[in-house]
Amino acid sequence: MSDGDYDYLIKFLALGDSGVGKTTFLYQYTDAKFNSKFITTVGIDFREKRVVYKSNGPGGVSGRGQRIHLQLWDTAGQERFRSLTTAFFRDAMGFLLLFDLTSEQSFLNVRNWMSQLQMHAYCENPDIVLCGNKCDLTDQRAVKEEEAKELADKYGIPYFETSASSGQNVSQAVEVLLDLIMKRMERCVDKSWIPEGVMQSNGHSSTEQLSNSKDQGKCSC
Amino acid sequence: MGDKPLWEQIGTSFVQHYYQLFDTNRPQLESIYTEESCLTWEGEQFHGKTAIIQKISSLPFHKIAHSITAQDHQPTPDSCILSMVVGQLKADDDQVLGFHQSFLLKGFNNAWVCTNEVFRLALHNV
Amino acid sequence: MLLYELDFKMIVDQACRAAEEFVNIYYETIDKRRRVLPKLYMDKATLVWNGNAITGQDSLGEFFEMLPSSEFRVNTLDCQPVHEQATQGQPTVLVVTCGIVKFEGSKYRYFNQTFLLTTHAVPTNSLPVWKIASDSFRFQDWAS
Repeated sequence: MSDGDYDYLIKFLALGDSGVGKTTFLYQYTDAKFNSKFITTVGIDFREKRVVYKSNGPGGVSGRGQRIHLQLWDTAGQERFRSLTTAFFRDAMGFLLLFDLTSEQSFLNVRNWMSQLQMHAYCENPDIVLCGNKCDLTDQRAVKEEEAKELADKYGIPYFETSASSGQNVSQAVEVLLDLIMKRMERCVDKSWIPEGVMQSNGHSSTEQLSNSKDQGKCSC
Repeated sequence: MGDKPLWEQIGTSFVQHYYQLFDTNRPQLESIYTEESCLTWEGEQFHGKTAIIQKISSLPFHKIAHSITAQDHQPTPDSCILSMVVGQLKADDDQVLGFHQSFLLKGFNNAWVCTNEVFRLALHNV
Repeated sequence: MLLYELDFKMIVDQACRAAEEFVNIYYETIDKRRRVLPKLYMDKATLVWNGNAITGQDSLGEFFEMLPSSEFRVNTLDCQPVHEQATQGQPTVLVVTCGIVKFEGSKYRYFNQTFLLTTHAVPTNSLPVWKIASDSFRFQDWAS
């Protein structure tokens, strides 16, 4: 899997209260085809998937597809016992923030998760997609779509109603997050010195450049 | 168990009792603490049995199971017992996580109470 | 915060500062000045090392001499004052550390260590000297 045959290595972190379905969501997205790697001593569970990303260049012309190696991180339930540390957040480039549509408490805690993100993530307005999960459990719904949409709008982030068990909107949510990250990188990274058609190294150059802008203070994107 | 030193018998009984209560009915752990007991739970300090039981009871999981890998007990110069446990736990349907926990036990009114306790997950987010 | 709790917080802070200093000295000593490590233990202190009990200066000296050279890195440190209800009057602190250690000839391993530190009055010195009364050490490895 990590054969180096990709253009970008992108790390996402799934966040939200225990039990909202983060693990099932990621399992669903990676089609359960790829083995998950659980690093017991770090408390991170992660899955990987290869996707191709196509951006639209100026004038609406489609660019060359970028080969993306996605690493999707899960908290492995450690948040039941402790507050997540900055170390946990800082390497992630994008966040899938999940709550459970059948649990009002998990929706109320979205605010707390957003504060933690604003505090610990690589910049004050990281790329986040909000997902109201378990939309298939219509009889047990406790949070209205409009309420959730309103909260997402307040934070300026996209909102999806997802079902990790059926797969509904799971790929869409991840793809939208990926699009946000790629567009951010396009804005932040000065690629003018890279000639057309030259392959970037295995994702490291872009993440390094992103880290550089992080080191210079918060990303100004 | 009769061949083992007294402190080891007491320590082993305590540990068994503690995790049995923790895994089945956390509020009942109240009897093992005093008003002066200290708990450090993943870096957060709690003082006194009320605060300690409140913290333990409010941990967000429905099911929990502990499995002990190793336990060490020794008598201290002040006639207390120092116990250290290394093991694994599983909360609800999450992955198994490692943990370690240390207890200082004191004989009090014909029972043993826990005056100090420290809990940490075996995580190394460096 | 109640006055009582404020006092308690001060006691905890003091205990923790003493503990941190001690822990730094301990791991530096075990890594770089192994020969004098037994001096950090009280005369009748006990160390339980991966289940093996070692008591007294002589035994500790032999044990530490036989132990390969080490490189310790502490990741977390927790400390608590031990209330006098559990001690015979001497200030005592419980310290728990965990981290990584590499012994010569082995690879890196995770470890946990629990200390009971107590002050040892030295008449000529106004500052209390902390020593280890009890010590418990275990590796913690998981097949991952």
